[in-house]
Amino acid sequence: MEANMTMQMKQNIDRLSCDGNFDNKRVVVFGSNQAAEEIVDYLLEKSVKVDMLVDNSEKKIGSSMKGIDIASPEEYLRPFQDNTIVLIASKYYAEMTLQLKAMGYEEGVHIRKIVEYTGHSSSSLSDEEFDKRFEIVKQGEICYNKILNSYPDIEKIFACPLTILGDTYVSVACIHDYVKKENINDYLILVVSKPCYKVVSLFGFENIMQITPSEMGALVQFSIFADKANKEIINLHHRVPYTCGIGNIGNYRDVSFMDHFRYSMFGLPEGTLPEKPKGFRGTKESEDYVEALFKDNDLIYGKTAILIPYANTLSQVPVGIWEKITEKLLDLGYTVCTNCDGDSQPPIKGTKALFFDLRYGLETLEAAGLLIGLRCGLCDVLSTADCRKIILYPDRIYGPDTFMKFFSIKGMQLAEDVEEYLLCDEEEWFG
Amino acid sequence: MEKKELENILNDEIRKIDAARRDWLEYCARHNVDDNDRVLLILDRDEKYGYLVLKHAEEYIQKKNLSGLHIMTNSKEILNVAEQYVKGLKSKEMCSDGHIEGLLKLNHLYKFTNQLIICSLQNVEDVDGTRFEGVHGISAEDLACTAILDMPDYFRGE
Repeated sequence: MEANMTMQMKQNIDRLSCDGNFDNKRVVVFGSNQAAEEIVDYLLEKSVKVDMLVDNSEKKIGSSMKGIDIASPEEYLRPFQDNTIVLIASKYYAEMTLQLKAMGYEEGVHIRKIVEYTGHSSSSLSDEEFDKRFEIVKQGEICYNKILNSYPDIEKIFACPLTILGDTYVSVACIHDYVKKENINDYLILVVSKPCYKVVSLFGFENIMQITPSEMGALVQFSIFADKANKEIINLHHRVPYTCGIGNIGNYRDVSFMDHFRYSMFGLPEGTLPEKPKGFRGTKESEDYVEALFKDNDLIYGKTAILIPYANTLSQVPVGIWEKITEKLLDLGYTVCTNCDGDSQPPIKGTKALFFDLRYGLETLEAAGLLIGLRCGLCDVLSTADCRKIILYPDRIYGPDTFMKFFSIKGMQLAEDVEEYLLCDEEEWFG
Repeated sequence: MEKKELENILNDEIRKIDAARRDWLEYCARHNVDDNDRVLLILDRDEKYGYLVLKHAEEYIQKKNLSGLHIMTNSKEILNVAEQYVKGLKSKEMCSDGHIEGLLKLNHLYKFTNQLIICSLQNVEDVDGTRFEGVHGISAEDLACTAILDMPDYFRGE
């Protein structure tokens, strides 16, 4: 989940917990998605036992997640039991609620929304709601005019609406092919965070601009509403805006995350490959940066392993696994580092904390020699580094197939030389 | 685009969606559209997908536990055949192009309801879901059932 949603999830669970809503209740989480995984983690942290996960997906029913069984809602929740609380963090909240209501459960009593997934959505058609929404569009128009003042000659604006590094990386990896196809010369890429700015800069784009997330939200809404301001704005996400259901086809018949961009968004020919960014390789600033980083941290060229155990959009892997990996790498003579970004990401025992600039991530990794990471956006960004890369995926379902299939770096053709494993196949990857 | 030109477009759009808002509320009242109903908005420009949606409409009702379906369309052909596909169709209504345009515009302002299902893969300019047809062997039926009806496990026949 994005950071703001995680915060919202924690606040809602804290509130329910304070009010005693989990006391003597059977606690059920509806859905076994990534959000559910984070909910389970947080409930466990608060010593709240989750009795069951329920899911409508036949592929998931009968399996388990985090040691909790997954059942069908009908099987587990019928007959109605008053001492039940069902937590939902899903974009299908409305549908799930209807399903539960049919079994006798009441919204606000037994059914609790933990995360608001549809901020753009409201069932209200009141004047107040209408005015509020139109105000957002107006704010978007202001933002659009501000951009045009700074870049009067641009023909196209590509808006990366999310703060997620991987989504940003994948979304811009086909832009050069697209602008060539459409004969677009002057264009601008908009991002909402400094890290995203750095990711986009790896591809050598000339015009990149950072705006605030609220400006971006308004701009996206304005662009939908005003027919893309005469089709001048492309929103680089297949699920943002909500107006096109094509996001639902994700992971269906081998449709990868990348396919959404190269096909439905950019209309590129089948087989078009994503660009491999050059980054800042070969520049003096890059060489100086890597040299200083290795010197300051006492790292050895070609014999340093960088671990990426933290992923913002995945629940964390038990720390013991990383400690085991570290021990093995130390035995093999590696200096082991944990990619850390602040206090919430402590280094794994036996490793050095390492923070490196995304702009020089490829060169840093190439100097190090080995990356072992939990699948996260940073893995996309570093995927083309010329070194050994081992990426571990959670054994999770995403849509109609596995998470690994949809987000596979090899499957998306971001890089061919990545070694990808399921976390649960420890024998395979640990060897 | 000139600023003035843009303002005129926006003001024109406000009028359209204000009317669409009233029309939608009247439509729901007229046809008793309840929370557990869905209204399929089938556009004549997307008839191909409209027919495929109709083909799987009964399955959709069953899989999504719906009370019933309504059809709103600007296609006479769709209107004429709708009941052949959906036996328990709650209502069907022919709409003008302007009416549909207003509803789409209102949906572009915000997702004002979960009850309206827009049976199109080209609802916004830059995302054209139809481009997936043929990619990895994906058929139009796959797209209709997965992208529009959110039913990837649809029944593909014997």
